[in-house]
Amino acid sequence: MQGLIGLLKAAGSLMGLQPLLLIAAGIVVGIMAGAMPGVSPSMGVALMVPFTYAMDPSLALVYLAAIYLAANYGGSITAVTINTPGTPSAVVTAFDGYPLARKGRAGEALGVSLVASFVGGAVGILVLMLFSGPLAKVALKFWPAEYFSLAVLGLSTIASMGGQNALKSAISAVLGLLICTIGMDPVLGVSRFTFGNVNLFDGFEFIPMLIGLLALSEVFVEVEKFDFASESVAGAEKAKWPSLGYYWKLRLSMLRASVIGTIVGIFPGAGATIATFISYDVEKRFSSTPEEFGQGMPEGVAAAEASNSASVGGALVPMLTLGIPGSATAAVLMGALMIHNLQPGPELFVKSPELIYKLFASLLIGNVIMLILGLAGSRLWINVTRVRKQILFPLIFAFAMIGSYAVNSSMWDVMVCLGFGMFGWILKRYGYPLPPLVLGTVLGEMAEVNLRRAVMMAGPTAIFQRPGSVALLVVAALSFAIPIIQAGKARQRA
Amino acid sequence: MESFSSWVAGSGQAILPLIGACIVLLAWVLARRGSMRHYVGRITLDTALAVTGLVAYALTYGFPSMSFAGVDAELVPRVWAGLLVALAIARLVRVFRAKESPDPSAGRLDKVLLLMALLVLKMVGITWAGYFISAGLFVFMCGFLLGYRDVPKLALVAGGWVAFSYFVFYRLLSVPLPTGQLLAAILRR
Repeated sequence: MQGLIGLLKAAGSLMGLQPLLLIAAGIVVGIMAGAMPGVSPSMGVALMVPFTYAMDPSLALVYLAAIYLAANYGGSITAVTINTPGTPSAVVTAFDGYPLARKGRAGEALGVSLVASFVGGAVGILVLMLFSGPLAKVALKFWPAEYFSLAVLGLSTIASMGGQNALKSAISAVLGLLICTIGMDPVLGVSRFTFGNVNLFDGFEFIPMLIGLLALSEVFVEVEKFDFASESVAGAEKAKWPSLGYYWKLRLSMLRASVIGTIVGIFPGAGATIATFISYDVEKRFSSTPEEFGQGMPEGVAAAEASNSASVGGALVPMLTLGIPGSATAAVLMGALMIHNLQPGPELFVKSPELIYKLFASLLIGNVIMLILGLAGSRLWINVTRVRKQILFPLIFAFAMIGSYAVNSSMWDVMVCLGFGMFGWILKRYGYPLPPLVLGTVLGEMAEVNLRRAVMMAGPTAIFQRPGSVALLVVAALSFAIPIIQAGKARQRA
Repeated sequence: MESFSSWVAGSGQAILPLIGACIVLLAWVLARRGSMRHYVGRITLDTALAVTGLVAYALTYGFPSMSFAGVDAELVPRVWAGLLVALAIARLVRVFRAKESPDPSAGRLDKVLLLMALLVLKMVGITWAGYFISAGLFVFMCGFLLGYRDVPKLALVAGGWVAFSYFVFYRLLSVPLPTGQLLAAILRR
């Protein structure tokens, strides 16, 4: 009851013109930062920190949290319209969002991604408000063995991603995992596969690799077809916007993904990207038409975006309660709080409860503002899919290159983007699915580092010594085996 | 083994990938001539993947020998490289047993290759002519290559892109886009 009163008081204090404008500005900046490849949500927040020096600490927190919230949604806009995820966590949104746009249903894809972001954001914030304490304690009990098993669980999703090409899908994932080993070994600092090239010491930068694999390879495929008769990505179809009933049908997909996103988001280092892959896989398993995933299923977009946005609330749980950031953006946010002499952690709840309530209230209000601004903005974004391909493709190339360059201000990253674009095009030509490759690159380091840490701590059988780890491995084994067995049975029946 | 490790860490880093490239080339030549010519692409790609795994596996012997609590740096790369070899060979077996469909028909490969050349040219051009000039030229030429013939509109799009990247990336986000040696020389005068 006391909490509710505190929340209502905080919400009341945010109803002035200045706080509302700040939240709206944060949402706009966040959407733009998220939508621009090369500008990550953490970079978006970091760039805005200097603007908050003179602000009241609570307003600064409100403003920066709004950017964080919206940046995760913003990444989905370019993922849907031009197959270029603005953030790594928007990769999965592109799997079905872009095919939907190509079918002339960009309105549906953008609408679903926005509403799913709203629902996911709301669930994440509610969980943050209600269960921050106990959830953070559970997350702290995760040892490297459990983190490794969590990565294995994520990797097991390739079984359902490959469809009928299980072997190709596995090769693709292993390629991603092998690519992840390039650079300095994260545990011992040994140089691996670098050929003495300094640029390779940190491995390949994720965003340029992602843009190359997803956006450039797709454009190369389109150019090879050289069929510009349909002119635009969306074709001649007029944009249709989903009705409320349409969203209602997706409610369970959104809720399931929101819960997964929040839970995965709580674990420091796991992050939104893994959450989206797991949610997508779960949704595919729940679907009666799993074979249509990847070809434009609204459920796929809903799952990816809901879990992506829900992970924001999740990532704030350990940051606020324990002072451990759950994501890179949460780490920047934490730094910004410290600049304002606020130390995140258990004491923050005791010393400045009003600040915490203000943050919760601002996230809730920000989520609503994001929905309103997003609805208005979607009418603009959709026009991208109506641009002629002959104009759009050069712009995608230009966008991809500047986005890759912007990450580290390095031409090397541009070369990486182009190289992976060519590589992705070749793989695509011969039917190798690219999502497992992306998944491999996302989970490779997490799996390796935690496996090695676990072995160092408890010997070669470390991952089988802890109940949590064993449980996750059993779920992973089932999750890997079931789709393959089902596919085998289906083949026998046919 | 000791001498092999030191060879891999030295000249082997160049020779092993070269041998790998030769094997892939050989596979391509042989597949083109034989009865499997409709699978040239698949055979070449799967051979390349298997060879990549083999070369990666061999290269792990060149990693500096360092171990902590029984965990080496080469353990995980070896697992992935070994898996890649096994899976790629399994794919090759499927291709040779004709369980795979023939290669997809080639579309406008000339356009794709030209586009790639244009992209490489743009990257080279950035260091010389700077980002803004090469990006503008690239957008214009790329549109032209893709068959768009409305020159004024194309020039407008190219100019628009240059303006967008200047204001958003260069000014607002302070991304230090290269101005290039040419522009720098002009500005110095």
